[in-house]
Amino acid sequence: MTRPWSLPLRAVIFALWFSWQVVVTSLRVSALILTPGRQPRPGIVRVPIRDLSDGELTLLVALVTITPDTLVIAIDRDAGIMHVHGMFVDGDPEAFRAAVRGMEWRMLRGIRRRPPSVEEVAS
Amino acid sequence: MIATIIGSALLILGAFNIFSAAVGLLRLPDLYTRTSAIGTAAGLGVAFMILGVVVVDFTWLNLLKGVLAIVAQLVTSAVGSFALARSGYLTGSSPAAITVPDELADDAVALGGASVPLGDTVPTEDTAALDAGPTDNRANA
Repeated sequence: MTRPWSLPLRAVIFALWFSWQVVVTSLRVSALILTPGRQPRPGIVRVPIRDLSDGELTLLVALVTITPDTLVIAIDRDAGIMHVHGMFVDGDPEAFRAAVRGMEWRMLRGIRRRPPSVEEVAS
Repeated sequence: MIATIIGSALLILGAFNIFSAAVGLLRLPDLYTRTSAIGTAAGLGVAFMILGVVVVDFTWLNLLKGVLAIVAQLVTSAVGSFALARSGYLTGSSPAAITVPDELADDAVALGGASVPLGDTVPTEDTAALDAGPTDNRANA
């Protein structure tokens, strides 16, 4: 699934997955707002950014911000980090970091002709 | 007939989503969680309404226009949310105290530690973000 010719298929799969994510996270945020007395447990988490081109980084920031529960506040390319606000961090920054990086990996599979493998991402 | 029912249901769903975002604006504690609430209206709310209109008055051209409108809406709302959150932070709008962890405040303190009193009084997260956030974070820009 990571050969260059499969890019259109991968792009479609990513678009569908991302649309589904927008629906799910929107409903989560709405449910939180409409549940009386429930307060969010947000957090601001430092997320490392991999070696991305300008366009890829712009797309990643847009995608992270479009999903309603996550929001990019600051980007520091020299330090290679960005700060992401999450509505549902729940005091677990590691899981949140992994989720954002998971989206980054899925995005790269959806737009690059030769996306990184799982092993490259883990390193 | 069926198209009218489904289209109307989508319109009502979209309106309800925008209503819940409005409740969120009143209910949530700080700029960043409120921006997230707006994100649901800008994403699902507007998308449901556009789809509802497309279903009520279906043509393939309308479907194409609807999809383009949703994509354009999502992209512009992302840029708007990011600009809002960033300018909010730079002008000293500190996150609510329930924001745990706040690694942006931690990093700001680490960069500009001298400006924060590190003696016997430990700054709370709120004051740390206020003191160090706006000035030191500008260096990250």
